Amino acid sequence: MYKIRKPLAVLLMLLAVLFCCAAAIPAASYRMGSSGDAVREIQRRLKDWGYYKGNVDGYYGALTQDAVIAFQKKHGIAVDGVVGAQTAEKLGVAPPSGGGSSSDKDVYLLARLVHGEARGEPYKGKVAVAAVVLNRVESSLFPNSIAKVIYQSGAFSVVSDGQINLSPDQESLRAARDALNGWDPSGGALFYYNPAKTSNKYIRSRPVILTIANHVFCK
Amino acid sequence: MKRIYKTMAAVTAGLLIVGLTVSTIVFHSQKESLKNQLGAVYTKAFEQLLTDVDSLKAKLYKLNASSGTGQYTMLLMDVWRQTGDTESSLSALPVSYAGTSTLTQFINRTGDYCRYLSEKLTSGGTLTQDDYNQIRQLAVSCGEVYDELGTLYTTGYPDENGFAEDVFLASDEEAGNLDFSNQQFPRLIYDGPFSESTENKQPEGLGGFEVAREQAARTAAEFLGVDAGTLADAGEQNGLIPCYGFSGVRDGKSFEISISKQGGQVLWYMCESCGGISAIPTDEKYAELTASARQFLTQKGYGQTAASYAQFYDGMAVINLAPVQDGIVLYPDLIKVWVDIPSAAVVGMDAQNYLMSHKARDLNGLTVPEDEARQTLTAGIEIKGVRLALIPTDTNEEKVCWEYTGSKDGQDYIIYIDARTGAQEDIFVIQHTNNGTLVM
Repeated sequence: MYKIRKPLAVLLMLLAVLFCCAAAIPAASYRMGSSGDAVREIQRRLKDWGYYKGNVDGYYGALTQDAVIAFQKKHGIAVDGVVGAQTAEKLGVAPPSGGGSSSDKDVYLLARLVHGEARGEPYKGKVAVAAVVLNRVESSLFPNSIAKVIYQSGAFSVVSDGQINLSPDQESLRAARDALNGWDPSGGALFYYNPAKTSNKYIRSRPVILTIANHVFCK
Repeated sequence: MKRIYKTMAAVTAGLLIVGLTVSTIVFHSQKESLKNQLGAVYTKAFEQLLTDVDSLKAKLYKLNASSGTGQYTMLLMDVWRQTGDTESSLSALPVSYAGTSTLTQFINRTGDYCRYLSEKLTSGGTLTQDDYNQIRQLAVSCGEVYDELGTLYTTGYPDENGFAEDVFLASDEEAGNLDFSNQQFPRLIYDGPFSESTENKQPEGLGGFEVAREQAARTAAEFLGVDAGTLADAGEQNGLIPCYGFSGVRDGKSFEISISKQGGQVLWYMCESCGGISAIPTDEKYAELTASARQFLTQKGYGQTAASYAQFYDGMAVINLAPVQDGIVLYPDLIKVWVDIPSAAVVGMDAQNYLMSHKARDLNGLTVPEDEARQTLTAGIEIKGVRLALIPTDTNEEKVCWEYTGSKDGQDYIIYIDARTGAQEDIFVIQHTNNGTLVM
């Protein structure tokens, strides 16, 4: 009995430590008087984006505070001159908490499809998958919104196997945004398939536009 | 002792059998319940489709018998709305693209055509005999679709297994017998976003003649300032604008570039991104990024450009720039430029719109002066800027307009007034998001 209990106790302790760590992360904030590498990183970002004119010295002084205030105003974050959770996330010094605004709904849905369909494909191949969805929305042969195209029956295998519900990674989000901005590396494709995985005659009979890694894109 | 073991084994086996039986029954009934629920969702969509197609048919026949512009316009808009509902019902069915794409197209084009006719009527135009004939054909075709669906319905599709069974088909199998791929639909002659003429638009800005891969490689090398010998073959693309692809490395970063086969022009080029945060730069920094993008385009021979909206993500700004001719901003030729925010260096470009639309244009004959156009704006709007712009319509036409940026009741707008007719052409709502500006 003792032998069983010991690992259990260790596990419980580990869980407790993990829980404390997880709870500790959001507590970190930087303000006037703070210093260190994190402040240096904050200053560097603020300088790169045009908000901070001083030296990147790792010391949170008045200039840094002014820059943080201007940054918060520009991004609709409560203005307090302190780098709290929300500001830190926007500045990339804290991990993203997930979720987004409703205007990002299309980006997020498209990114989830890309993440499911084209994980492991080169970046261009990811943008091309997103572009196929957008080309379908524009085509009279398909439904007229991103959601209706993605959830059209049998259109994408990641919808039926549930992979569409996975959280998209950074690269998938960028691919979705690049496609929504008009970049179409698929050359106007309406279909794509993985030749190693499909036996569908209909799709294999379509005229091929190009091949990107494992995917064949066609008209 | 042995007896105890035997008893324990028997009890364990018994428990296992009972457990398995119970879980199988539970699993089966859950599966049945899910199947029924899904089946109900799909059956509802099918019945809704029947109702929608029936209404669409009735409205098209009403159009066929209607006279008087007011009534006619109302019915046309009614048909347009009805096609939207019908398309939604159809897209909710668990049937494959192959069997329904022609029906989707028929519905989309019917709505698009009716909207086109109603716009024609409201702007003072009249319908031709061809239009009336086409409306009649649409009503007849819609009747045929309804009969087809009705037959499926009365012959028990979806039956007790109907759609629910389809849900459990392997993805490569064709679902059900809802197949319109052989149905003949009327071919509509008109100009709308979904019309044949618009969908088959060919590039107008390529010019020149077909170039060989070697020449395209020289163009790519010159554009990027690298040695042509260092470029690798990245295949080719035979889509809307057929291209040669090249890849290479510059300043330690990999890039890819596409050169059109016709005319040897750059379709797009993209560098490996450094990544970074998705935040909006200061106005001052944005001006620096825009200047960098404009300078890049001037260097590459696109002439003067004006920046419109931008998006900011992954350490980059994606800036939309429109070429300017005689002080008029040419939106159909919009070029997108990706700029790395920290360094303000251009890291990508997409010129598809430019290659599709750019051509010599006659921009003379503007008859509506600015102060006259301003009179037609809605009361209470605060104007912040005005300039002349060429805008694309959704039927691939182009119109020179006075472009007003302004705000009303706290909402920012861009409003376009036709500089030849004085008519209000378009309104955009501007959305300021955490990633930049969106126009809707």
